[in-house]
Amino acid sequence: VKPELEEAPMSSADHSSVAALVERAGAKAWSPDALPWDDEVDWSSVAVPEKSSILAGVPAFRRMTAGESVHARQREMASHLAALTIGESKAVNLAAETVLLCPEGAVEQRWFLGTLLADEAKHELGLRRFVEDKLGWRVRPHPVLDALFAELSRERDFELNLLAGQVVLEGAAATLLNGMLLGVEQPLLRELLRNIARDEARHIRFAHLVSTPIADVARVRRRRMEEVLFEAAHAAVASLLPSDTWDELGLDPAAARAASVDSLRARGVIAFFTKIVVRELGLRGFPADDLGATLERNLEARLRGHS
Amino acid sequence: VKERTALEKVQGAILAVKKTLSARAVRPEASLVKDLGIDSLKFAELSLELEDAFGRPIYLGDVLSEIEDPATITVAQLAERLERGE
Repeated sequence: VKPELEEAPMSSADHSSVAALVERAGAKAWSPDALPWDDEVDWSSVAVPEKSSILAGVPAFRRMTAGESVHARQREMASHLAALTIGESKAVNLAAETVLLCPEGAVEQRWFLGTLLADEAKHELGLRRFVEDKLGWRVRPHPVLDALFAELSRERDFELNLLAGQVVLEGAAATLLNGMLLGVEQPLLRELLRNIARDEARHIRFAHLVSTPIADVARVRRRRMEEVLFEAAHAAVASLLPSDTWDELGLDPAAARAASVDSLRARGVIAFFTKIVVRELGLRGFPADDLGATLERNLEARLRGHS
Repeated sequence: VKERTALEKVQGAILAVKKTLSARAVRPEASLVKDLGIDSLKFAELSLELEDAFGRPIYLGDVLSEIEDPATITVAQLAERLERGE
């Protein structure tokens, strides 16, 4: 039931646009080594602002002193950056697999995917160096992201890789990056995030250019794609839960999870996935009404560990 | 029917995603972040509204990453960039 891989039905204008993106990737190339790594990083300059903090909704957080609150929000920022690092490291493998699945003869697409792969590797290197060397925080494996990427690997589907990788996951990562860019003042981190955000925007442009309508895909296959896209949305939100901080901060995991999901809902993050991401998928050719309904019904319960 | 200007399209899109704002508040020199309270989630929604208004894909992440301090971008500056095709 999986569609045969053929050359994507792109117009010559789209071929030129992808070729232009390849050139742009070259023109905007940057190196993590060129960033000011010798600068000292003051932990206090990398705390999540209280109004954006997911931890701020946890009851124990509200009993913290001012100093403890800053410490907790610093750890929260480290946790977000660590999750981004894991996502980028998984994206390197996904990009490599996507190159192999790229339609025969789609030369410009292969070129671009080559640049995308190199970008993801740079992002991982830069983020890991910042998180581990500058913040002294350990990047831990993320079981939910691990499971999602393993599932994508098994599917071996070019379109699904683009939709899950570039629309759901990179769309969510781009939103997180933009949020950090709007609030981070620490110069090294800001420059790192700015470079990554610029690359991610180019990747999303590529996915938009090469996405083709898949309404005609067999019903069984479409259902399977919906299942994997649901998992992608779940993994993206789950990676925002700073669960690797709960132990160090002495928070009860069940209470912290419940309050964090409340906080994500109150801040519109869950609605972002049930509405904005669904609309985005629709614009990129995936009929996502059923997926939207499933996300509305099940995403929050899944995050709370109820299903 | 007169075609809306880029500024009018941006103002309309902002009002569509931030329904608590009054039309008067979305003045050209208002900062999207500091004055109008557009956060990263609203920026994602704004991208889609702008895509409808301009009839082409809009990549606000690209725009934000090119600005020294993205939190200072104003309504007029965003409209100018989109008018230039960014």
